[in-house]
Amino acid sequence: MPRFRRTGLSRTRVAAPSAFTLRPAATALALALLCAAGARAQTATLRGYVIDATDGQPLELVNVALRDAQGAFRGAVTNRDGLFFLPNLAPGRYVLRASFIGYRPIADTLDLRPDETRTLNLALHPGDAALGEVLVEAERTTGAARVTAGQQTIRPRDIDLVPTPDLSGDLAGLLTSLPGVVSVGDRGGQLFVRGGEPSQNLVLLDGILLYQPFHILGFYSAFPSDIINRTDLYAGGFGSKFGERISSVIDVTTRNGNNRRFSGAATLSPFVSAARVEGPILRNRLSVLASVRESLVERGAESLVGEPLPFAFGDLFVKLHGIVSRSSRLSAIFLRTHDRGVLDRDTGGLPPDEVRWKNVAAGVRFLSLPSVTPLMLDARISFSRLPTELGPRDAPVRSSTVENLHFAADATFFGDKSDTDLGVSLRIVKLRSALGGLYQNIEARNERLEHAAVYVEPELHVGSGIRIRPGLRVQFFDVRFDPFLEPRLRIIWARGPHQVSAAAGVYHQAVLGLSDRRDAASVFTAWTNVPRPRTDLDDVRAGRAPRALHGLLGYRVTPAPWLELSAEGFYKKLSNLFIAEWTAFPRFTTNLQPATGRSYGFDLRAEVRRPHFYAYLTYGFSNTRYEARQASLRLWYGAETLAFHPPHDRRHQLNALASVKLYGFEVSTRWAFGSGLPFSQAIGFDGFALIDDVRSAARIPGSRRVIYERPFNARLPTYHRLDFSVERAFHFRRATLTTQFSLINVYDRRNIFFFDVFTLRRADQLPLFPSFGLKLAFE
Amino acid sequence: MTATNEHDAQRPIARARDRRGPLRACLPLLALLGLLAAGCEEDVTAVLGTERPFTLFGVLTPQADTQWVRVFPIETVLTPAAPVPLDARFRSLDLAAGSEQAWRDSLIQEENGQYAHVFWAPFPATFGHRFRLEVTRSDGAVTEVEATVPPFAEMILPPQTQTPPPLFSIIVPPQVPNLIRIEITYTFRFRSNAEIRRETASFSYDGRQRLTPEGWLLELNVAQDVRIIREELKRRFPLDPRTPLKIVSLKIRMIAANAEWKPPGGVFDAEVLVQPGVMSNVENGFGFVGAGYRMEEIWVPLDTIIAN
Repeated sequence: MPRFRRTGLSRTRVAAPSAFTLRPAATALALALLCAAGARAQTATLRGYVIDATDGQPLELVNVALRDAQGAFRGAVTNRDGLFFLPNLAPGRYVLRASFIGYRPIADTLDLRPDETRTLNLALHPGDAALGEVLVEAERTTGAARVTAGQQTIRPRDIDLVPTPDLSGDLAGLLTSLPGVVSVGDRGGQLFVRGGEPSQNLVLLDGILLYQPFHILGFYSAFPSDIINRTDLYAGGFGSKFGERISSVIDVTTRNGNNRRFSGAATLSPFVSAARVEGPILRNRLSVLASVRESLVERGAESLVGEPLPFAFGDLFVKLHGIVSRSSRLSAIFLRTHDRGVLDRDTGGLPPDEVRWKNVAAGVRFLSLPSVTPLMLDARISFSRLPTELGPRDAPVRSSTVENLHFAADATFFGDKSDTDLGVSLRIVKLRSALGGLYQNIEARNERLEHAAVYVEPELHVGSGIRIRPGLRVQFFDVRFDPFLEPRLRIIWARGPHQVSAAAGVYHQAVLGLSDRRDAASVFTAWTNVPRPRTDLDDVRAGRAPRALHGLLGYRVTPAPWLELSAEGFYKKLSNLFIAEWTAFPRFTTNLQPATGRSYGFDLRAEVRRPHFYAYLTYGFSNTRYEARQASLRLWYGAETLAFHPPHDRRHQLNALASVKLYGFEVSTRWAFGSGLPFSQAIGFDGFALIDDVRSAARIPGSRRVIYERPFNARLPTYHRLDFSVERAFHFRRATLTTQFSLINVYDRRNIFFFDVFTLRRADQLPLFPSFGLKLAFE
Repeated sequence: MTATNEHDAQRPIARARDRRGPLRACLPLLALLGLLAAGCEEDVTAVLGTERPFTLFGVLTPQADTQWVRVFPIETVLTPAAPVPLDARFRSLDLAAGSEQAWRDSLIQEENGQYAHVFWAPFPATFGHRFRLEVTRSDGAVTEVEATVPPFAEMILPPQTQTPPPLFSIIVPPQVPNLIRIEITYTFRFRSNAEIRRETASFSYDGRQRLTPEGWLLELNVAQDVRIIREELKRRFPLDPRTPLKIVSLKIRMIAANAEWKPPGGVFDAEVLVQPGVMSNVENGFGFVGAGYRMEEIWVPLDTIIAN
């Protein structure tokens, strides 16, 4: 039985191992294209999609092997679209075998003629193996400890293991349990990945850029697990396909609707109600998947939690997926989310500031296998928009709107020894903001920006289990004519149970999300762009896009089929950042100042996966420091720069999760620990009057002042919380009823959400509360 | 973990709000975990506190019959000042004359509605005298500041000569330790669309003075200032380039200040000066008390000087 590489569309010829030598990355693309084109004159190509016969879902990681008359094997593994590709086959008779654990294999005999490009679509039927064992093996491609050069793949099953207040399952619950991902609290929807800011995360839904997809209550996002096929989190070192952000990538790929028969589910809990329906519009040709959720927090959960929860949110997702031809697929998705809430209710008699935002996104994706060349073409057009407001609904104090129209085409060229990804991207961004005094040196404005990019990234298999992905992204931002060059590199060495991986890259970002991080209760983000250079103004910020340099190195070992261990270290160097300028005035409207930063740390992960028991333990260490440059710093602190740890610098994180199946019950518990976040301790409060003239002090206007020692010189208390859930599923003829009982914050820990130093008001995260959930799924 | 003792109890520590989930009482099993959690409870010490009692802001001047100084208590909470007497005893000592003056509190209301304490005493600060201001809290903590009023001096204006130098010199006697807020205001006339207009334009000369053996030397560059004025007028009015600009007068204003009254870079930027410790002369407290007086002269140069 041949062995196959388990990622991407890579192939290997087992009977005749290659002595391929690494060529410079710059020539790889040309060689791949030339070889592919030249080879087609005499050879045949086999390609196709593999799906689950029961619901039409594409099957990823299916082994597709060909054996010729001499007994030599050629093989490929399907990608996330269920696509396999075997180019440059010698004409002749082959025995084809497609196999995937948990499914009955398919075997067939093929006669391939010279110059033939055959599209062979396969449908696999689930096998008879015990379901539990199948899951153990099949899900080994993901998991808490399975990290490869900063990339972690998340499946819906991983999401469902995390205890949450309801049964709808949400990606946000899992993301916040990962080492290196910091959330300042259980509300606000702000995620910091390995030292980066939330606005520096690239969040994609089937390739559509989303600006704020996380709901205001931290358990939820726009991504219920029911709609997700897989999610790839790149905590750093991401490849050339991704750009325009400098911290991380959260790449969510959605499922297709069932194109064989209708199915659906309805979920109810005191927090949300949700419904999902999917089915064929044209059987085997066109399917729909729709999901809708609406929060019930204000009506249902407040009594359980015992305190006001002034939050409302919801999302609607619709996806159409069509099989256009044997080799082409077309899909369209629509997403709409809404959030509103008050994070700081106690404002000393003043009306509380309500924050509101909405995501609207739509996109069309066309996946095709042209017959003329050995490539896969992935073309997308998408639109997304995020308006955000702060203040009364009829008269917001601040508002910001960002929208973009995006055209992208990615192509993968398949060769014998290497595949090459390349693509082009054009994004038209519109920004509109009225900041009401916030960020005084960033003017309120309307902007239209054009951002373009091209990239190339071959994957080279150099033998001895080494894969190298050198890449180059050429990014054009309109702040300057010259392109921003972004070299990237990912290297993976795998042998037996061991894997060593490394990644590095340069990243730039031109659209900035400005937030006053001194105010944890403020999640309002103003979207703006890097100022263009002007001849009449000497602006140190002009033309300088925030830049990051990533480097990371990891090791993973699987000493036993049920155990996986991994460790990964990272370093990020950040420059051209903009952060809130320091001031002793007790206010949150302030200027912005340039800053640099760096973040380093490491993750340690262990995962145990048995048929009836699952557990992981992760530890993350990180150290993030910014250095601000401000003209007054020398006067204030005697130094040109001010180094400080920003308020998301969580030094230590520990997450433990255990899930066990007992007598039909599935019991999950999770304990999370995080060391305290930095905040600015004050010495006291007095007043200030500007003495700039000879006049009576009674006629000089005074203002209050906070006497700080140094910015972010202290840390808030540690965070820790235990969550628990127990589920039981009852199976009926065509339906399954799942019930859940959960306890969040089991020992009622007073975890601080934010502390207002000016008023000494403390807002805590959610206390102990129980929740009940029901889910009825039918087929 | 922070142990709470009597000292800590005086600090402003945020207290837990009493929140009771309905299940809390009916799950005894959780009590153990609750105890565990309570053992780890940590409060936030947000304000360290300081022994310094007061912050002072004001100016002593011989040009006023009454002196005023703002007194802010340094507190551990940021709350609006209440309209109640301040726990402070304020006195001033004229170190040259040896006299003492008791100051009185007056409560004022700012435009934003906040209350503030301004202490005052009915005396003019004598030229050249050094004063010590002491503000004492009932527990004995004292904030004090010393400031010397600059000696009396007058500007020496440029002579009215027929052959003008390129720069006109203004001299201030050297016993004045510091000059700030130096401002030259031109009053001029010009013709535009058959209409004669009268305008003013001000120029800051801060930082352009230098100390010479004769005193502080300030050189007015009238020709350059007039060029700037003409450029500005051309932008605002239809102006015939041949039309003469008639300088009516120059008003020269500055403050003779004590040596400490010197903002960083010579600029009074509230965003910079608000930081405690910047331009501060107060001991065991924060703030700044300056001493000085305004100097103002009007100079009418000969027409021929301007024409040339």
